[in-house]
Amino acid sequence: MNPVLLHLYPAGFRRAFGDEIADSYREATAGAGPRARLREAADVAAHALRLRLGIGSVHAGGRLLAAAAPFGLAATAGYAAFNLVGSVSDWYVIRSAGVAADAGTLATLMNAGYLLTLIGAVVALAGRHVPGVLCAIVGTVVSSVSFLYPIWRMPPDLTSALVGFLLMPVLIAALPLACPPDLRPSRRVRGAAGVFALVAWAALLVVALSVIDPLGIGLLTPWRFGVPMIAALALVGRRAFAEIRTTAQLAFAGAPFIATMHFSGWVRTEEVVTVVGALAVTAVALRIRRRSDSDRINPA
Amino acid sequence: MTDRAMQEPTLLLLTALADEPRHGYAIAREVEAISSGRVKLRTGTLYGALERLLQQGLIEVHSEEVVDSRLRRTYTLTSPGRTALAVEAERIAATAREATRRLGAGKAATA
Repeated sequence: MNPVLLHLYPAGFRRAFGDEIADSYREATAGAGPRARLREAADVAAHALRLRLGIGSVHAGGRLLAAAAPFGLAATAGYAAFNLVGSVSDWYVIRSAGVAADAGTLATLMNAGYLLTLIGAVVALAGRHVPGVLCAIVGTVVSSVSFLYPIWRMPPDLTSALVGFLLMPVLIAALPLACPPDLRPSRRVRGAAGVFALVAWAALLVVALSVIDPLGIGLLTPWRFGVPMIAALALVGRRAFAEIRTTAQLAFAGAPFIATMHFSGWVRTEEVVTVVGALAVTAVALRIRRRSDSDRINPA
Repeated sequence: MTDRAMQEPTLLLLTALADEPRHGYAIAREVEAISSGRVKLRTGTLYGALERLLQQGLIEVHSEEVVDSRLRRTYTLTSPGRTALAVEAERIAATAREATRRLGAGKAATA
């Protein structure tokens, strides 16, 4: 094993496990090709980095990120679906009015980015974590850059606000990468056919939301945002909710949604306080429920 | 506290140690075999999980020996680790039994 690789680890961990890791690495890479060796080296480097940052699975920070990861994916899926529904809905209305609609190259690229983000988030929630998250990150970068490109020559103060607006989806999409690999959510869908079906359902949901008249129920933005968000949370599954056991985990899990809602323009800054308040109430209710569960099982 | 389902890597790791103590790479090979090649624990992920399970008291060091001037440890389940694995195995078996029962009932209903 390259000594440089081993020295990436903190000194204490290296003293405790260094010999074993070197042995295990040697056995794992014996006779292996360059790709396999690179993957092993990358895994060791990533683990060493997590330990140095205090976000390994042994750290409270790592467990916080593990609890928040599925909800970051759900917020990313909701964000992408929200924007896609808006685009498809606008196109549908314009076409229904008999006007030829040409989105233009950048708008098409932006929507392609949203679609890629949605697919990536759904694939990751289905259990193909790394490929899905990477796809979602690429999608958010594509949509953000294509949105930012035409407005780059605007006044600097407006540009900087918009850069923050566009950077947030990328950061939220990337959040699940920080989850320790041994704490990643289990595969919920077996087989490529199942994942494909899930992606197809997500696309159908976007189309259905777009063509159903939102004005008919008078809840335009909540309809476009709320329905995809609820669908994404259903995909997250009960198990992810069961992992939320502390106030800190609840805050971490809720943060991607608050950030996404704010930067999508659905919740104004002052309304964020209300949302945070709702989270605090949920945290208290969660604590009371956990305490009563504990008392019921251990009455002594 | 209510019981929570175990993460798959943890379940596989504990299963790999259920029958005999093993060292790091042997655990990774067993995990791959048990999961029919679906789960591959690379070195960094493996030792991240082992450190966590040691901290949680589910596994412990069984023996230490020096091989080629390097320390090699084998790990084994602790008593709480055996209990946790048994609880999870029963949970999975109960779900499988219920699925089998319902499939049988469904077949009878359509017959």
